[in-house]
Amino acid sequence: MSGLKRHADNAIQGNGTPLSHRHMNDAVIRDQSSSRSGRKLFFQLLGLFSLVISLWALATPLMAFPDEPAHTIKAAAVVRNQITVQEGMSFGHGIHVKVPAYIANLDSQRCYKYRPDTSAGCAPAIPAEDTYETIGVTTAGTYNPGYYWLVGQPSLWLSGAPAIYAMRIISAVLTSVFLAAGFTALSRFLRPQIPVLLASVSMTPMVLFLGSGINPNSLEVAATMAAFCGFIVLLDNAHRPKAIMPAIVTVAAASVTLANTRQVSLIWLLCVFLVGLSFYQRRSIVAAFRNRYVLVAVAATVPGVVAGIAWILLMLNAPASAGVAPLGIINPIPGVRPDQGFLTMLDRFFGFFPQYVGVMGWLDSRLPDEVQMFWNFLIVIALLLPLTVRPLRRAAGYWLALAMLLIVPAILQAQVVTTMGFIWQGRYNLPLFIVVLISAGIAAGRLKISQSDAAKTVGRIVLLAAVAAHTLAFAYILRRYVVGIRELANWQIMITNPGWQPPLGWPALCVAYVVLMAVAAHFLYSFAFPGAVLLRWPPRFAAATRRGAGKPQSEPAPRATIEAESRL
Amino acid sequence: MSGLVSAWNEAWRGPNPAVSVAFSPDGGAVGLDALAREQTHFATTTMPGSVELPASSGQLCGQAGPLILPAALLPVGVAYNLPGIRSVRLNAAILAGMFEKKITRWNDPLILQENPGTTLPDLEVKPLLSDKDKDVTEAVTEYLSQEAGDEWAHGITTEWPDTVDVQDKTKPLELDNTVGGLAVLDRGIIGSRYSTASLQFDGSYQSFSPDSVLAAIEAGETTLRGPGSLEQELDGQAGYALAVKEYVVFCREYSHAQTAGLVSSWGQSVFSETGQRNANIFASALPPSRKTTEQAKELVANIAEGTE
Repeated sequence: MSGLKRHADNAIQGNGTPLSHRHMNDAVIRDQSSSRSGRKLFFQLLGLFSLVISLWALATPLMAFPDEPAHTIKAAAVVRNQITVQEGMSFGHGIHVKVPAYIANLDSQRCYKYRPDTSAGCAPAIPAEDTYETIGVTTAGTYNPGYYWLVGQPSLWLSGAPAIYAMRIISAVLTSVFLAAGFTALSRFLRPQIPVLLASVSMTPMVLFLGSGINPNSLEVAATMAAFCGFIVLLDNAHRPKAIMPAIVTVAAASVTLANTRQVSLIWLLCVFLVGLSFYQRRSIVAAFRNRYVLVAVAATVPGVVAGIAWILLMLNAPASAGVAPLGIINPIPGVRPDQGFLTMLDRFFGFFPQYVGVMGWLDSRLPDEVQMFWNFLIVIALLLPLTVRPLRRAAGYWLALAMLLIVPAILQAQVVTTMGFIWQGRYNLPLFIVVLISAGIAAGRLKISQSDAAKTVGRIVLLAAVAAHTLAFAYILRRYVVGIRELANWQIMITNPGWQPPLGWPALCVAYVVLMAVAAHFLYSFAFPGAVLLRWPPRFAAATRRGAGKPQSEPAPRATIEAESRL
Repeated sequence: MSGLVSAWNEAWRGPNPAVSVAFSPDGGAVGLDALAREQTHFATTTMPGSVELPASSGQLCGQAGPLILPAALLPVGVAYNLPGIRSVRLNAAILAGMFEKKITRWNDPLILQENPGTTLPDLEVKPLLSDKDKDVTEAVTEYLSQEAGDEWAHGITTEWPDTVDVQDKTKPLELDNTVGGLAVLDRGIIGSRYSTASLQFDGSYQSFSPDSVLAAIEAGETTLRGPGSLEQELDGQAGYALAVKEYVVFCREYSHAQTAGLVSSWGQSVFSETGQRNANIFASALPPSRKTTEQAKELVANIAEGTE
């Protein structure tokens, strides 16, 4: 994370003016240096996200994740070479495949599904010895096999719960790769502070939870974020071709991944490019696309995207299902017209926001009000921040992103409302939600974070509150599965009589989580306030530290008020 | 059928919390085809004898063959909306005439002849028939084929013939709002909401009630149509004999011992007292006769590992 800080220092100094030869040499040296720091930053972020999301993977009972049984079965089938849909395998409730019995039978874990008052202790053990192949049913049968081929590997050499946890952790690392790449790319933005801070706001408990399960939804969210960040940086640094190589690679990899994740992912990819282009003038865009590295990346991306489209076409022509999806999978509402579906989605626009913050499990475990309030506070600030930008057209990309978050899901839902009913969930919007927040940061990127003591105090309070909110969210979801959420508070029963324990036990997971969140907050604070530290040791420890290190404390005690300065 | 399988599933999961059943209500033909292709472990159907499997399906359940067992009966009633009139008698020939609009008034002499002492109104007969529930259509056309003689020339079908007006599938039934209306519905829908006609079986009128249907079932014969194929007859002399017969179809052998054990366990749960009680409570279905149940249990207990 220290790389984030160092690079930010460099980037803040950039002013976008034409470069002289000497400046060019400086830029080359700076690019090489930042390339190394960028790589370090990427791996630090990868480690952090992987650990945090893996903690969620351990804290969430197996199959307590939306549609996880269907995606787990699909993954186990794909690694057993059952990739396409064959004649006679497609039925109303899904595609039939042959997978190990312990995976085919994962639906038996459902006893606490939609019952937030029920502990996960009601679920039976997943028998590792049931490895004989039997019929499994998956509603993800026509999905692109790429994600599943990677995630399904542990099922070839492990069995039972360990195999599924390993599958989850592979999925978590995949998601982390793109989140880390997105943040790394964003740190190379010419004015990265506000965008990085708002990107951090977009890492809600829901985004981290979503990364923990077996479901390509998480990869879709992370890859959209990475594609957008990479694309923005690419356009922002068109005059520094080598410096943006990581961004170019990020855009290419994320684009190919998105094209090969879910059908709707291609729409998110299109949105990303449209929003990105809206932030820049034609001259910058043309310059970026004259960059030979960009052209090579486009040439490398096109086959991957074409492959994704080819898969979609192949599945559209797959053998037809022998029946229609039963109620529960679809919930058609007779008489509702597409235009009514569209308007209803517009009406529900703000209703989806709690789901962006956190409605975990099978949408049965909403985070407590205090966590929702904290994120709503940050989100409202983020959404209003671009209003400070003048002229307003500088924030065109943000307004487009916001309009897309409003309209694109409404269009997608409206076209299936007659046949499938209202199936849209907030988590489907997360790719666009993250793009909106980062766009707000980019639009307001010229605002400078005040380095006054008061600003540091406010920053410290907000970040510590964020650590508390993240930790409370994590602990609350553990409570939901350890003892269930009852009308009366039952935190104490988690200690006295836990109904379920995650691997390593819930106290250990909570401690690890709060430590990781504190580390993340520490580096984010250093990034926002270079040279400052989030928390200092108490005086006697600090004195001992000073004696050991021989360094004086640099930061004065916080005081005074917050200051915002615009250079527009 | 989904309701029935859910009811049986609840009975199975009670003592076996680590099991699960995935059921897709795609129809009997699809289920038997899937069983033949080894894409399912069991199927459900209402007319196992009438299903012709596609040539590509192969032999159902290999050399050992299938078990075809009647597992539930869902009474079907003729519901009507005639305010103030609680009991109407209709024979199969009259019913066929009403469906085909040959009898158009409730006070038609043929109906009055079967209902001495009852004053029937001069109202139009408005059949409200739907192709939504093919099983009910099949059961009713079977009844008409057996009892109406020359008055019903269309045989047993899962869809109503062209001579019958059929309602739009997507619209809800409007019997409540249609005075003079007439519909065929299963017990689950009728409940205590509609008046139902007494129907004639083998010359005897029987009223629509669970007890009457149970009497017809218990007095009905249990016949073995082939090795592993049981049939539950209904005795129209003993009770109301119009019901959808729901069969479950298993293989006698499965390629894996664990699978055979699971299927056998599930099958025994279907025919267990708890399974049948759940079917009655949650799906308004009645059990087969005691004799049929015992024979079915015995056959299901012998499901074993083999070649499938």
